Amino acid sequence: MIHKRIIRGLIRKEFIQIFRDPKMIAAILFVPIMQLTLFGLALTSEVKNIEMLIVSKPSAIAREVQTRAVASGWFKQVHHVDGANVLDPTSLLTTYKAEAVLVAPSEGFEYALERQNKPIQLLINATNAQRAQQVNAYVSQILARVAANHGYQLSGPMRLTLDTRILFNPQMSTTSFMVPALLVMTSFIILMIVGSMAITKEKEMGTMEKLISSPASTADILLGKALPYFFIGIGVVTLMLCVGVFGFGISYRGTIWQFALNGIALAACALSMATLISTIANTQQQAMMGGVLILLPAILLSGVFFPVANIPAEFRWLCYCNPLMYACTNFRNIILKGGDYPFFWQYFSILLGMAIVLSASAYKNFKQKLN
Amino acid sequence: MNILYKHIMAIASKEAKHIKRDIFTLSVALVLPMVFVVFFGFIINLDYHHIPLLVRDNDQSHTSRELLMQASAAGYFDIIAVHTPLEADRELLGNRMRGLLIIPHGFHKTFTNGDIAHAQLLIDGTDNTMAALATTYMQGILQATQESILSSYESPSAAIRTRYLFNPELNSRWFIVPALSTIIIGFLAIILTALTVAREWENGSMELLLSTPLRPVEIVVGKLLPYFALAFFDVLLVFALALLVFHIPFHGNFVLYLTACLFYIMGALALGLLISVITRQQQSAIQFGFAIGLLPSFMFSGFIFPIENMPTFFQYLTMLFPQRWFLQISRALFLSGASLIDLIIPFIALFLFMIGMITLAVQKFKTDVEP
Repeated sequence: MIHKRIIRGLIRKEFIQIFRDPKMIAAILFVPIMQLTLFGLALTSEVKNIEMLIVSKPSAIAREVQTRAVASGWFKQVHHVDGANVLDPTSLLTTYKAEAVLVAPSEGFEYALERQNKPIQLLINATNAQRAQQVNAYVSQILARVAANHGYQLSGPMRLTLDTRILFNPQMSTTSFMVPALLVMTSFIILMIVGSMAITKEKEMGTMEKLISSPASTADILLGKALPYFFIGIGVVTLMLCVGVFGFGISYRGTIWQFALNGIALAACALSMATLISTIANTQQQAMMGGVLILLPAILLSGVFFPVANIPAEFRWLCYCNPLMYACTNFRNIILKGGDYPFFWQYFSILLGMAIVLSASAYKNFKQKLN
Repeated sequence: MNILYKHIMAIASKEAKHIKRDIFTLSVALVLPMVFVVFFGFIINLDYHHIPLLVRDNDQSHTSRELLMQASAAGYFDIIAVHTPLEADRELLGNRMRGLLIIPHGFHKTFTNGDIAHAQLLIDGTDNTMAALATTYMQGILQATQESILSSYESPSAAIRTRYLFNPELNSRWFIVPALSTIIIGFLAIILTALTVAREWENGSMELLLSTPLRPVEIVVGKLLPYFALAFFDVLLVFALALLVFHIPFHGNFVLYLTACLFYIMGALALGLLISVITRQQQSAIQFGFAIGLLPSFMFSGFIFPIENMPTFFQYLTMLFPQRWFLQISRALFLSGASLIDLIIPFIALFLFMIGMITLAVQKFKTDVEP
């Protein structure tokens, strides 16, 4: 049974409670926007500031590699160490004086390139395995180019070549990739937390009994509690889209109603999950721990940081149970690719289905506890 | 008036009773880091394999077949033939396929004539990391094809030999597990204490505590101690797992590692406490705890996005996050066996962070108490 008047009253009460505390407003509105802005500005996947040292007797090639490396913008000069008289190049890495060391044999680069029986060595600090591979590619590329300038061919001429065209994100910008994901994650986190706190707080304070003994039905209480945060959630998501599009200049290719529908499904999913947690937890502390239990895996398995296709097949179903995965992929599909309809409807309906199942079980759980 | 050991222990044992009473929170705090590190350490991976790729072979020749064979043998791509451009468009827009390789008519002929033959690769750039890797993989495949057809290895770059120090096989687990434990334990530490003071204010027991002869320092330190024991136990457990389950080498000094853990955990716990003292309300304490602890520790710790790649401003900003320093120490101690002198800056930073957080919490507490 749903009473419109009661729900309206509950919503008003909840909004008064939220707006009474300026810290809450800051947490709900300011934090997501700030996070999006900071992360959007900070994150790039382009490798920069590689501290590389060339260990070789002074030669034209050594100088040219150095100049080219610095000019490329990927590398940073290593000061205080003279490459011409380093005895143990490995120690430069173990003492963290350099990230990569290019070591010519004692006869110099020219000899190595001519004879090929004494190779040039490239030592890379691989504590970050990903970055090490990129560093390797950059250094090899620069060295090959310098060698070619001096008339040495490092590899045979390539006669099969590749013309690459990058679709949908031609600058390959990390920001374009991350903004849809950040939008989903920050709003999901906020809604999960505030939503689950809202009900457990009443339980902890003992005001829940008063609410229950009032003529309000279970549906009234749950809706009255969830709806204010639902509206806030929609507002936050919209605000973040504006930051992404107007602030970061991401080209929005989909339609607005697709974005709106997906945003509604996301907010509904987050809040019904929050409500479910709060029907189980008795204190805010427990609700928070429940949130941790769900949010950490949801972020790790969202396919944003680690590709879904590479998770072992027997655990991949976990990704397919993860609302964040659907929301992130669908928002990216809408914003960057124009929101292909069959794909959009598929992911949207799964997300909505999850929200319905979650809210139904929250409702049932809440009712059972009452009786 | 000096700090009384007895007072601190009294507060600590009171807080320990709170923890023991809430079995759910206690078990999550004890079990979660262990389970998450093992589980996610096994299943998440930064490599991209099996990228679904469409192929349009307009040449149907020896060379093109060899190219496709090389491509499917490499394991990076799952290759599916496509016949019409319309179909290719639909698959790319519908997120079922990541790219399209077009082998033009006359590919074989150009190549056997000794000219340069071009293949075209269209790749979905929404995931920029994937796009960059796929291009590199495809270039390698073309090179392999050329070499296998000409079967005369025209001296592929024997001139340069790369050595990856500290992680010679570029094992991504060695890279992920220390980072994962840093993030999970740090986040847990922040939110464990985020509620302690806020809860006392909400329950009204804070007034009682303040009317006792306890000094703010004693209350703050006493509240931190039991949580410290809890988190330190987690650290030891995760450390043992990293060695025994994942066989990650530990080359560093164990005492040094424990010292870093002490600074890191104490700092994170004190940060949580500071949040609690400032907000005085559980709901917003959790909000800020999650806002500061969850996403920033993924983004600003150097786990997925190396700090060196960020714009200068953010390289300084990330210095405020203890996760950055601890991850640096943890990676260095595990993999490279660095000494204290090499890691002096991160150690000082962690120490300052810990002292700063405790001082701030005590100061803020004092101003709350003395009107």
